[in-house]
Amino acid sequence: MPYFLRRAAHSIVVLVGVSILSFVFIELAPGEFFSDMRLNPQISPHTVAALRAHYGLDQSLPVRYVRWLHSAAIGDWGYSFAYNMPVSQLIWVRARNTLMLTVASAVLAWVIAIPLGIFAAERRHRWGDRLLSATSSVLLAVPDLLFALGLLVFAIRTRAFAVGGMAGLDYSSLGPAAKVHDIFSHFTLPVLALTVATLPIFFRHVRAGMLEALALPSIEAARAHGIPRRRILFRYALPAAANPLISLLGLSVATLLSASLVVEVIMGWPGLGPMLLEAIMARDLYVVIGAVMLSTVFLVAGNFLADLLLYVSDPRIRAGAP
Amino acid sequence: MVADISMSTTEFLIRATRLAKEYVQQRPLSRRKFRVHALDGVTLEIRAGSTFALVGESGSGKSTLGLCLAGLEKPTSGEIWFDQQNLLTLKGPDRARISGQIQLVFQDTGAALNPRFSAEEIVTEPLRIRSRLTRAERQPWAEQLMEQVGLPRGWLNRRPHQFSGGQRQRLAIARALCVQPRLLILDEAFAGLDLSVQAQIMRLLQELQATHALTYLFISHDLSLMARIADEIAILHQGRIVEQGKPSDLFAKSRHPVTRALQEAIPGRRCGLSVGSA
Amino acid sequence: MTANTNMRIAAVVLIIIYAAVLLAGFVAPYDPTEQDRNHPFAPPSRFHLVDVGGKFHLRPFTYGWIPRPGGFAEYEEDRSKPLFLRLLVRGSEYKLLGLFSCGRHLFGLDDDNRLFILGTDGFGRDQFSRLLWGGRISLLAGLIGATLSLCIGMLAGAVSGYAGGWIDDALMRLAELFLAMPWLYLLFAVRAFLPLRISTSTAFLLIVAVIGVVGWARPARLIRGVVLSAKERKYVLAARGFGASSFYLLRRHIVPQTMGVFLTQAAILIPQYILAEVTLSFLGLGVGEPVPSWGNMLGSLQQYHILASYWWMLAPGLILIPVFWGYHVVADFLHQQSELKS
Repeated sequence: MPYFLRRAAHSIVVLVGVSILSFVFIELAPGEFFSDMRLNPQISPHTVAALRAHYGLDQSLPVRYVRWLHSAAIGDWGYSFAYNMPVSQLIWVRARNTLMLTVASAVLAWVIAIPLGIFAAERRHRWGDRLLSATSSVLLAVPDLLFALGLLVFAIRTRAFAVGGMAGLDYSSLGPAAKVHDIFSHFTLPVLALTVATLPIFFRHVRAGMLEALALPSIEAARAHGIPRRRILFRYALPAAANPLISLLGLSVATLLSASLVVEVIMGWPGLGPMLLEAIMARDLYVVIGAVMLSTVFLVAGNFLADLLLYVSDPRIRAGAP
Repeated sequence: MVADISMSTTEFLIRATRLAKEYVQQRPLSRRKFRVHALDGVTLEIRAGSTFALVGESGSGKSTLGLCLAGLEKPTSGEIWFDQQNLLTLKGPDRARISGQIQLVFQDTGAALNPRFSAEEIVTEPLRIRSRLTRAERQPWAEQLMEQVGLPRGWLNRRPHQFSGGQRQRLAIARALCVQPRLLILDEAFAGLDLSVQAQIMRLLQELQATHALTYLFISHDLSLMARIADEIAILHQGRIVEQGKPSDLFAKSRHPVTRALQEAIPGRRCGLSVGSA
Repeated sequence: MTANTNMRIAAVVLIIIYAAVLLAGFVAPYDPTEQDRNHPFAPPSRFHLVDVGGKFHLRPFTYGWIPRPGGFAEYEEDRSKPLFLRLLVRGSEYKLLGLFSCGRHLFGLDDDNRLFILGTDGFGRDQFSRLLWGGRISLLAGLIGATLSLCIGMLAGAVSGYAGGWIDDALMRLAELFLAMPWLYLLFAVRAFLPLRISTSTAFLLIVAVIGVVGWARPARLIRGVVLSAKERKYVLAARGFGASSFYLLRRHIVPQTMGVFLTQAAILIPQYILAEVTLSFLGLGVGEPVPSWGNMLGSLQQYHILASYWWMLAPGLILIPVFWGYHVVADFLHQQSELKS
């Protein structure tokens, strides 16, 4: 248990560090929400100064940071200049949408990648493996940008799926079954795009992990004992490969978050991505920081979860920790 | 391998007094630290021109002692006197000069020679570090060194993996000789070599000792081998010298359990075959 | 397909693409900014070998596009006048490799006729020419960004691994922070507060700098690992025994060991950074008009009708596939090589 307390404390330190880093970065760069306004001759410098003071932008970096921390503590997470409301109100909904997308894609991608990876590893260099590996190589080379655009073309041409936003305009007037269908219709293509974009990476890792596991002396010994192939695969090799695979879960969160940004923007899925972009265009400082922090939280949480799973599954780690 | 002791000075070339070396280790994920006493008050003296052997099992601290004497590790306490100078208090250019006179030949030549370097680069590396000679100027040195250890000149371009174990050992010795040391410390010089190669290396070391007036400190776990070549043997156990003396004395009069254990490990001992005199 | 064959194909593909992009002025028939308002969204020119009269010609020819009156971006072939493909044509001036002025182009049509291998965009600009010129920006951004990340990473990793102690701790904690953020979000965040409208050359440099700086952490960690293990090697210890300085040890023994990791990381980072530039420019945060980059060329596709109707506009995205595939194969190959060596 102390192991986990330490890991949790460590994660929190990382998050605080990231927040400081974000503030520093953004401070280093020239330009802010009111830069354009300053250039506008119709707005007097006096007004600009007053606005800046009102939003606290005229204060020094450490002061702003502390005030932001305080705002975070009370649940506001800063203030959006563009929307005139606390950042948290904007973010939670978007975060939920992004989570929906990434979790669904992650589950789908792993569910497909694991059996395919095992299959490919078992039939190494035979036609099944070659086909899968070649396909994954090609898919890997296609950027997520292109997947999203491609699926959009498909959607527009066939009109089979809805695109743009999470639900149609007439959502509120639909019955419950129709509501689910509406969301599903909007949901499918983004999930598909994200899944296809990340699937090849997971497949490769599963395959590599299984190949390593199958090469272990313990597996050879099992084979020599005449244990049937199926059993070896699932009862011996898979558990051996579990460690790197579980660690990969943490990695996959990072991959998915980055890829989801692009997919969301292109397909119009209302997640953190489009919000970040909009905030960047408007130079809405605290929204940008909020989005970055939240995505970092997801990533750190993903790694922590992976550590937890590793601890539970691997007795060696349990023994090593006090 | 008896050096003519009467001809050399009876002064001590190198003397270590109450040498101690501690490591502090921490187990991963734990806050508890504990000390490891690699060396615990070792005192020994080596006469110039002689062959001294340090024998012990693994973990006895013998490699650590070699490293400390060669100046590659700093002892926690104690003194090392070389040529009437306290090594541990010397600094700068004095230190560099003295350190050149004590050379360590590592065990496991697979790791002791950079696999990307050619033989020429390996044996003349000390020159490259310590002098401003150009590559062309270093080459005759390289050739000479190869000759001294009995390797063909034409092999200067080869990489370590193209040499056999015994040949790599010769390269390592050549490299150590490059700076013209007075004391050569050989850590497990014969490990991993088969018997005929061991004999060859022994012969080579014997010749070199005569021509270069070298003093040797052998570090080994093999008591029988050391008994054949050393003038004096010290038995190291858990960082302390537990017994010391001439090989014949050790075998005849030894009472210490560690020495006995090392002796028992020698094949043929029980049959009463004596292990040759020094 | 053995690994070696794959590697050779990948090398050839990459070399062809880079060469074409490097010699963009020569290979591209037209200036990338040259507009032709009469031919917006013209489809790629079709090539024929047999003319209307049924006669076979050895030299391929095409017909010009005539806009259909009353419509927008609808065309018909002008079958009255076959335009033959010519090699080494005289055309608009450009600077070859940025050094010499030159007027010859690899291929083109006679007189002022226009050839659209990959069609045109909304302003009637030849997409093929823009693809080649745009490649310079995108590919160069990848290279420079990767170089920057690798240099910083190498420095940090070497110092961290060699010095140990608190320096190592501090640097690795910093690296951990950088790695804790999803890097695209971090990239966007940093980009966020650069001025939105900046001159294209400054934009390019700034973006490349940002991409490069953001990505130093992973190479640094990997190089640190190599340095840590190399530092303990016996031959390093031996050299130290001869009185070698830290600088010598790093230069002669340790850094050469990191080359394997360095190259593999380069092959992994370059395509990532190309994609970063493309993504940024696509979303309007990167290089802007009128300078073409593969990213901003794709930007117009954010409008659904363009995406659905004019498939050739996807070319700047499609070209990424062979580029990335090539780099992946190279990276795998290098990875295998370094595994064999250790």
